[in-house]
Amino acid sequence: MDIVIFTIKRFVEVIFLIVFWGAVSNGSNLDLKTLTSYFLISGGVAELIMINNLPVGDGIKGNVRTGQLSNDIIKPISIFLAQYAAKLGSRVLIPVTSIIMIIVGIILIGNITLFGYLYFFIALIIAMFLSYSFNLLLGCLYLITTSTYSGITSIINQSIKFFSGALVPIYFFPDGLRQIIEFLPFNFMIYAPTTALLEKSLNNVIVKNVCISLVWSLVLLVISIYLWKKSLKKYEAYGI
Amino acid sequence: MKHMGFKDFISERWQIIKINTVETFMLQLSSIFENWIVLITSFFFVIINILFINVLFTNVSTIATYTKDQMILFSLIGNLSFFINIAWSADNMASLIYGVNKGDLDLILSKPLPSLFYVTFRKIDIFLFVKGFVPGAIAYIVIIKWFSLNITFESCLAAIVIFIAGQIALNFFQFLCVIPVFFRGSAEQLMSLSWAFEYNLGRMIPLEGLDKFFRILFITLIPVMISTGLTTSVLLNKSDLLLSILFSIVVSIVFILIKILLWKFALKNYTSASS
Repeated sequence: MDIVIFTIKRFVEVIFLIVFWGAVSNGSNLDLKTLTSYFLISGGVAELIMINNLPVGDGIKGNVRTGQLSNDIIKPISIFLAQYAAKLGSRVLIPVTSIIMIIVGIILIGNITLFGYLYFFIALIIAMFLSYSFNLLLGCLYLITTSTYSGITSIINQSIKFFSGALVPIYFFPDGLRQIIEFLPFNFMIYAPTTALLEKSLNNVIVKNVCISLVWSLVLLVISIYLWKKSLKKYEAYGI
Repeated sequence: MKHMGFKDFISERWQIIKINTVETFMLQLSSIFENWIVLITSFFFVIINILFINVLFTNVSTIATYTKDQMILFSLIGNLSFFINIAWSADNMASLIYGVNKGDLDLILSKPLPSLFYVTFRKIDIFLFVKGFVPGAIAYIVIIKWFSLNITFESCLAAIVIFIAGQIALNFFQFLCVIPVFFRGSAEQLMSLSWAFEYNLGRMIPLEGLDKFFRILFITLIPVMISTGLTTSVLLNKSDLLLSILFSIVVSIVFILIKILLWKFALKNYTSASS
């Protein structure tokens, strides 16, 4: 039952975002069909790569609060991967609904080339690595601070939402800001996979974007794994 | 209890509010790190919101008839509604879920207290409201070009009344989402669904952005827009003041009555979690 409610919640969020953009586009020259397909696909991508609300990193907060982490540390398991698996299990319907959302978005766009699908798939995998790193970094933050205030997740989540194109497509930003955002890792988590579907053939911009995103994913992965190991050593458990 | 006079009735509830407010305040003061985190995150949230509105208005001139300053005002009222709700309602509803599952509610029921009133006002976190809302509000107030807004003294008064009624309605909606905990043992996801409505609808879309059917739906059955959308609309003189006040008061009274009935029904079905 909880899984169904969770799924409904996610649908509600995406539908209201579309309704909001309906209000924005009303009376302007913005195309609601394009915006709807954009938010359906970006919403699906955000859930597939587990970047929306950073559930894995946020889960670490819960384990710190309950003291469960102290029990997990002494077990011969990777705490973070175990948390990842637990979240995957508790969100079993989410991948299904995410894929449905993406398919509906694709139908609305229509006329997508094989190259578009291929580029989307590559961008999605890179986005998964980036999301993994961000979840890991959030987990580190909770380990270091042992804070249980959700605001930490909220501030990171809000930044990701805004700069990744989950809330507003990057092409809406003024030129100066857009050029900066295009180099940030947030851009490659949602906006890049979503717009990848529109690409028809390989060009310099795509090569540049793939290279930048690969560098980001590698750098962030190395940093996050290093920090995770450091923070585990520094973690001060409370309780007996 | 049945022979309690009106004066005693009010006095007892006032004591509950006073003690719970002071206790929550003392508790909040003890976590210095958390206090700074709340202040920083809330302020950052406001900055992102203002940036978001600015980005939107570089592409459009109005959103659902709202100009940029009107949208920022809507965002300010949405923020106010959020923090007031957190300060007196949302946390208490979450505590109720915990109380039912951990047997905490047994303790409350065993005391000679008005139980529904007590669980509704168990925590009144004025400090959270101050540190969460005030810094961001200053940013909003500085940015808004107030002279461009059509706000009158009457619309201000009407907006205050509607806002209070909206908070009562929002509390009822959260209570409605929490009630299943008495029957199935969990309500966390329903509570988070209520947040999804409040956050993604109440704080993002102006009332005028919805068609008539949905406007009525979201100020009656799912009343997440009274304290945000309707309040802003009335404040800006976009809705009929008198009709909106009457409507809000009637809706909030109906919700309070339903809440009392639901509480009695839930307690009848309550099986204690502790021994």
